[in-house]
Amino acid sequence: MDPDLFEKLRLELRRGSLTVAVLLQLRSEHYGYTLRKSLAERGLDIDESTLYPLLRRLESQGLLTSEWREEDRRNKRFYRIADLGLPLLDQLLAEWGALNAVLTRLQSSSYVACNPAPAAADSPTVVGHSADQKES
Amino acid sequence: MELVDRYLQAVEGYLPPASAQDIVAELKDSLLSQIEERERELGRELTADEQQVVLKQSGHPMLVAGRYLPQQYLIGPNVFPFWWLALRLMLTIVGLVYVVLAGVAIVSSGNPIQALFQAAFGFAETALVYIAVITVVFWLLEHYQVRMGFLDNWQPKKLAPIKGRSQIKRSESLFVLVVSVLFVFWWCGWLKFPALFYHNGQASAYTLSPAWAPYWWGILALAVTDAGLAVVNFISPWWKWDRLLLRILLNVIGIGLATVLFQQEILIVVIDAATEFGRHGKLASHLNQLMHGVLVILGLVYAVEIVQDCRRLLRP
Repeated sequence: MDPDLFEKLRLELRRGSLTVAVLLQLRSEHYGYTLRKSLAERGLDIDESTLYPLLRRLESQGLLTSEWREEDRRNKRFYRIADLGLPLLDQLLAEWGALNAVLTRLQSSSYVACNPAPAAADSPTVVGHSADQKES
Repeated sequence: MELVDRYLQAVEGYLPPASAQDIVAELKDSLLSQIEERERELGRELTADEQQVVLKQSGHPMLVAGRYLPQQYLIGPNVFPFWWLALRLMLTIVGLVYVVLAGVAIVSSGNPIQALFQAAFGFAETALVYIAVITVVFWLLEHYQVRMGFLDNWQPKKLAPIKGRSQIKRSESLFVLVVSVLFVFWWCGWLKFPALFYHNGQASAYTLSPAWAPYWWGILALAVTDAGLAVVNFISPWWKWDRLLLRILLNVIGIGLATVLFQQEILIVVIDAATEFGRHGKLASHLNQLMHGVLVILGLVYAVEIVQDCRRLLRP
């Protein structure tokens, strides 16, 4: 398989998810560096050259607010989800949940169609990624 | 931290002045935070090489700055298919015109290689101008978000029928259009081809005889209608009964004209020819025989098209 093709599709898949992840994480205040670290600690690595433009875009769309404050003797820009962003985040999460459910159903049905179980005991019960699998 | 400042200065150079300072300040904090964390882990200051690793991870200044800029394009994805279609259409029309002109120039000039090169450069020059004009027009459509009405008001029942006997190749319509337009321009005298015939290294000029005069308007009307039909056929590339009837009528008139002209003895007159190939000499005789042959071929083509069109009408 062409590794570039996988990379292209992976990026497409990630693009929308990053927005949701950033909005979720900014329900509490962060500045860019700590936001990136907290996302990485939870399994979502994101380049700073992707994160900072994304933060600016979300702010310009009115979904985030920011303010410059001094901390550790340096000026830092702190971000937080805006009032407008909260209901939108709920909508996005509902959409994400619905999409995930559909994909899981599709994956299960195609798995069963391709691999008809000979006996009930052998049939797969869990299909898909394990919960602790790291997203990259 | 001189290296960091140099890096940030390079990034700033690619950013719009209005937001550059704000972006650079945030980037600086991010880079310094990374360096400080690494220094805490190592328990010492980072060397210049180690700082360089951090900056390289951040990305080339031009790429980093580029992420902050709005996505820009000359022709966007919505307009692109129409721009591409217009470009191909224009290049085909200009190409056909130049092929015909080059053909005439090669046959009638004393230096065919020069004529070929002139046509090639002429095509490149004209095509570049039209590419620029079409691109500017579509950029304006994109920039001002002009809605194209036909995209909203289209009707499925007006879509082309399934491809079959009734389909007309757009390339054929385009060819007919270009040839008809060039013919009309030449017939009306707006386009002049050097009417020369080379024999034994000597050029002889020729012209149409007065026998054509009574049919001048008829031939013009036929060519203009042909060009119009080609335009309609290009836009809706499938035969409909009304267009088939019109083409049958045109072809019947064409056969009639070819027949009456065929009966004329002198169709082409040679001017200023040497005595041997004079006005009524061998050259004039050859040219008139050639023209009579062309009329026969034209008549046959018209007849074949009439048969084809009748079959399309009777068995669509």
